Amino acid sequence: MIDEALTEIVDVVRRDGWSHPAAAEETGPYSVLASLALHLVDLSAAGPFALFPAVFGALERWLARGDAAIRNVLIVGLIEDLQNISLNRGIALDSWEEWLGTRSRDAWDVVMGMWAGRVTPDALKAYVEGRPADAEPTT
Amino acid sequence: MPTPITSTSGMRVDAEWPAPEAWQLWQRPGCQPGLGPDAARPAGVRTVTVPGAEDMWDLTVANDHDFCVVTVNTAVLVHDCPLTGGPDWDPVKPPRIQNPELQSIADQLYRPGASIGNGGTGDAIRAGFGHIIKGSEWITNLGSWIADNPGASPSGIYTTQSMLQELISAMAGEGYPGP
Repeated sequence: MIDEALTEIVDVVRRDGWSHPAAAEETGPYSVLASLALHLVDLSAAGPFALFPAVFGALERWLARGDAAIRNVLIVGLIEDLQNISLNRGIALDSWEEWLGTRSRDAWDVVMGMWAGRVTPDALKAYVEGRPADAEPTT
Repeated sequence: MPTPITSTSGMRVDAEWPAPEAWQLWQRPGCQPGLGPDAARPAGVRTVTVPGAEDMWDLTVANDHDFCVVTVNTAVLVHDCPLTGGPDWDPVKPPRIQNPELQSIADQLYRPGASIGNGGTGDAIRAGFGHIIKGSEWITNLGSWIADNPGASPSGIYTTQSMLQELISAMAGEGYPGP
């Protein structure tokens, strides 16, 4: 299922002529999405922005229907990398807001809260697994 | 019979070494047998990658950090140091690196202004925020980068080793690095 989600998200950008390093694909999904995050941050400086709605639309869909593994790679992978790279390059995080849907905005805020000390490890895990923070964690 | 030493994992490899005190040690009679003060200054530090899995030990001794190790064929000046370090490395801050490709990697792995450790993926792991698969992928990626870039600057290699070691120690359940 991760492959399906990854394919849908990455294919949007591939059709635009971008290709991530082959080594990233061999390494795993976090590496692929890290490469994608770098590319999106580069584009965010001057565009073109034409593929942003499709990329973030796919992100929104997979946050809604993906299992915990998919949500983890999207939240701890793509969203966190977008934020980290942006912060390291002086790009304001709120510049991404126009591209975020309801679920991706929630996930965006959870990642920010985690690094700011407002979200506990248990709360992050519960959020990624799509359950209330006080519910029993899945094994 | 002593075994010739050619490299020590984690050896400091930067432009400031050998330090003056290490150079004085190198010139001391008995360090370079038969040469004494005329001994040639060490030309550089060689890093050797040995395929396969073997138990390896770092040389770590309190107080004194420079050693002249006399082996059967030659003498080797060695320096012990913490595994993490180097001119671009601060264990409590995201690294700033001259190499743009490495800086891009650090931009992904470290978050400035974070309240968790140094903002690195390693400290997210230590703090219990998951990141295990992400960390393990980056261990592979950083190891590959070192293997694929043998001509990188010593400080670049050293910083990459430091980022790699931080992730490995986090995955091993070790505590926060640095002071």
